[in-house]
Amino acid sequence: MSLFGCPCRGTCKDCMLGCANVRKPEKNDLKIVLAGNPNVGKSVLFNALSGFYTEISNFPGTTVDISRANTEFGELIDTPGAYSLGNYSDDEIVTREILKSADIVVNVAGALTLERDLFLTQQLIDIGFPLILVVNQVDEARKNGVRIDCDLLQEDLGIRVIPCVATEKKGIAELTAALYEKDAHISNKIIPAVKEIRNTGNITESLLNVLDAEAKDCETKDKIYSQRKEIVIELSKKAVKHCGKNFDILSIIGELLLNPFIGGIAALGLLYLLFQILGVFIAGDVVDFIFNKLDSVYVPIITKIVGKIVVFPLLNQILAGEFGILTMSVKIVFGVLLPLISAFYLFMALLEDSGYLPRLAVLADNVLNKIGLNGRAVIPLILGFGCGALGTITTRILGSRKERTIATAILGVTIPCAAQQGIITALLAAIGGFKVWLLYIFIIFVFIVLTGTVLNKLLKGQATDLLIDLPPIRIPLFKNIVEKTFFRVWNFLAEAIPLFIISSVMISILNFAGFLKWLQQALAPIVVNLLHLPAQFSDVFVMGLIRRDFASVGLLGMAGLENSARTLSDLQILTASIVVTLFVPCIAALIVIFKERGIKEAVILWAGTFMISVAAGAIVTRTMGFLFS
Amino acid sequence: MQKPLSNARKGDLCRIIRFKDTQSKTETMRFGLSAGETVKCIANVGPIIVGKNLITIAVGRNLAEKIYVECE
Repeated sequence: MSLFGCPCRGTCKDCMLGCANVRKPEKNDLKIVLAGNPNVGKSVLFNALSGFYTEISNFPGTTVDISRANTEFGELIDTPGAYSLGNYSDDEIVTREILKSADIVVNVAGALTLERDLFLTQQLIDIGFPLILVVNQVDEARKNGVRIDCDLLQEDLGIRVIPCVATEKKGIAELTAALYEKDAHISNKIIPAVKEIRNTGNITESLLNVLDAEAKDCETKDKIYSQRKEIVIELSKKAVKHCGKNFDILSIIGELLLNPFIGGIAALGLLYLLFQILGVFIAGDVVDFIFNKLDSVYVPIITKIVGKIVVFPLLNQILAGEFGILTMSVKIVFGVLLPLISAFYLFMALLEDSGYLPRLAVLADNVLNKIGLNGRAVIPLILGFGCGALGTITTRILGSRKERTIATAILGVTIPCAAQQGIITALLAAIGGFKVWLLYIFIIFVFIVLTGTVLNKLLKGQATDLLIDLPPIRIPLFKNIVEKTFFRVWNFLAEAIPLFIISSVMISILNFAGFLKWLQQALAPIVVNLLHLPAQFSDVFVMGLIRRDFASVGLLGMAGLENSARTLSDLQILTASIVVTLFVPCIAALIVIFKERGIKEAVILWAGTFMISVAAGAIVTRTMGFLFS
Repeated sequence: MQKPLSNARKGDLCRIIRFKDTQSKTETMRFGLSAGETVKCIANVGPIIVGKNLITIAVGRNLAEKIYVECE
């Protein structure tokens, strides 16, 4: 035990968690990797083992986040949930990469779904990892009439098996003790098909050998999978006993939610609630309040202070100018993004932990299949009506790169965020009439379908088939929700703030050099000749880049609102509404797109959106005149 | 009589007979479904929802068309 350098030398069990986070990592640390299927409570177990000092980082080249923590028994690394290690999804690829460096693997299986989860266990055994199996959620299984014989599992699998209720910290002490004693064994209960392939000397090589064999051709894979499945079925028959299920209101709700009619109404109700809370209350009232307070109280003070200290004009502008780090960045990050992101992650955590999310995806699958997406895309698209930046972050939940690109493009090109809707509602009201609204909605709908269809044809790869686990409906645990939300918000800010600082510096320099003024003038011919709008409208373009709300200022005046004399015709107002809807993402959304999808896609999307919005405006102004004659 | 899982009706008990190709076979195997097993069709709303003991899985329509079952 002295190996670990713990002051109590590991003699007292109670202090294990207490001193778990004291030590800094050393290079020769034991790497302990948690692996398991989705929805088995892996993250809860991770938190129970790691304490509070978790570091969440983005896995290179993907949008998958992984958590690490330095504990007394070694470096603990969480992996995304995976049903097996293969090339099925980003998540599984990441899990495989992390496992390459694992010294001990803790396989977490759900007691409710053990028959399925043991498939991964057997794969890990076949590769030859020193393994500990944790059977989590044994309490929930017992409630549902499932009894699991862990002693028998232990004997048949040839590895240590620990029953656990991670949410109540039951079984954690046993697991910690097992990790201390490195009570992880390499089992010899492997399937015949991998006997020749695996390399007992080198685990990384063995991992690659087994996975290569599985990926080589369909026949080999079929053979390996079938043998594995056979063992698992045999084992579950012996070790898992089903006795009658108790009456359970939650499982009835779960089933009702899948009924197209009841589920449809529930989904619409929930989405409406989501839109009201996130889109209207948070994105509207709360953001307005904080943003205005920052604008009227904080900004004048900071501008004054910086003005006194920094006299050099460019530096002054970079720090506290119109687009400065301490002015614009602070306003957007804390005034706009922080409230939105916190509320959003809280909602997501609730939806995730209650098991509702996959049921919503099932209902939306049919429609979204037609534009190259599967049911899961319903979440980012709906959230985009609140805030495009928010929607874009959520595209992370989609299965493939192609789907993420399509969803991001639909969000960037068409879906109007709450700020845009505000302007558009005012504009269309100035014209009045139901037919204008119908026409507007029709045009937006056409662009959603067009964007999806065109990208679906252009991009390689297929939309992944929907194949998702529907976990039982559960009542989320308050503590888990709060922890999850806190970590995600923290992580988001850590990543977003540097990006905002960089963009503040760049825009300030461009503004200082007179580029923004120049841009307004350069855009004027497009506005006048192509869109048949007054030259002032180019201000709307330039301001709209920064934040949608800013764009409304001049525009509403031109439309005869805010006590101004109206200078635009009905047709011009409709054109302006379409252009403002389809216009390029604001700076917050653009930064998120850049972060999530990379510079190439961000630039293409930005340029494409600009052209689409101008083209659509040009067409509308030339063809829809008959409506108003 | 054999038919694709996509044609199953709510309440049907379906025995999985075979898969159209090995890719769909191995993909569903990871989710705990393999030939010879019996699942209950909980709903058919585009995607097919099947249940086995406490495991509930939603299978997209495209994939369900490649899974052949016998229903009672």
